[in-house]
Amino acid sequence: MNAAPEPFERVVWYGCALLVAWALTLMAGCCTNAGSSATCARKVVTGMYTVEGTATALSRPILAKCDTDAVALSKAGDDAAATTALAKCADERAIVSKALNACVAATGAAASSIDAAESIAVKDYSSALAPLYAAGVQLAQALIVAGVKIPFPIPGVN
Amino acid sequence: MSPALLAALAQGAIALITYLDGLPAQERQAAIDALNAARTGAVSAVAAFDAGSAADLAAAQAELAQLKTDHATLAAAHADLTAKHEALVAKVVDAAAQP
Repeated sequence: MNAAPEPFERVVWYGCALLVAWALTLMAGCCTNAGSSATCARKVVTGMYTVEGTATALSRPILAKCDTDAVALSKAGDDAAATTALAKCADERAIVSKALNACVAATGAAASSIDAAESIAVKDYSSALAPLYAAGVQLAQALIVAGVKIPFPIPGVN
Repeated sequence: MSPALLAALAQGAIALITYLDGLPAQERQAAIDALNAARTGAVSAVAAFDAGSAADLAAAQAELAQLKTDHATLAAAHADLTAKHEALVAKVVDAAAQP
């Protein structure tokens, strides 16, 4: 994994996108106040997970081709170019892995938010606490993967 | 219409209403199950990607290191042969220069 820190702007964009997605999911669930809406939201999140799984499956052969092309440069006689190209492949792999992990964690936050919204809609606030906590933890996990440093310990995350 | 038929119709109607009432709950549970299955699949896919792509990269790095070693060996052998060739040429030139 590449340990280089992300540019500040990218971290801000990650965080903003995750927060907006989380807030929208929670608000949509609360405002509609109906079980079928939560079911609809769950189907959307299921679709998001499916897309992420497919993107993950497609990413590996693309990165493998990057590796193969880099090694081919060496076979053609240019070791320096091959070394540079393979380092670039490693960087790309790190970025793709980071993005995929952040997406899955953010989707997990959205899924937990649906459970919380469903409980809030029927004024069952005690049942909303657990999914709200889970959503917060997954959101924090996504932010940590994106490179944000959380200044306090979260059990099981940092 | 006989009372037995009426009772059967009433029971059928109650069963139908009960079934229709339960549909949203069934749909909700199905959505929850599908979500959990999709979550498991996505998490497994990401874990497989992390492990698999790391293995691919490590294999490529090993192959590149081997190629670099081979190239260095070949370059050394080439330099050695060139030196021997130049020595032989020098000997031939010397021999030709002898009366």
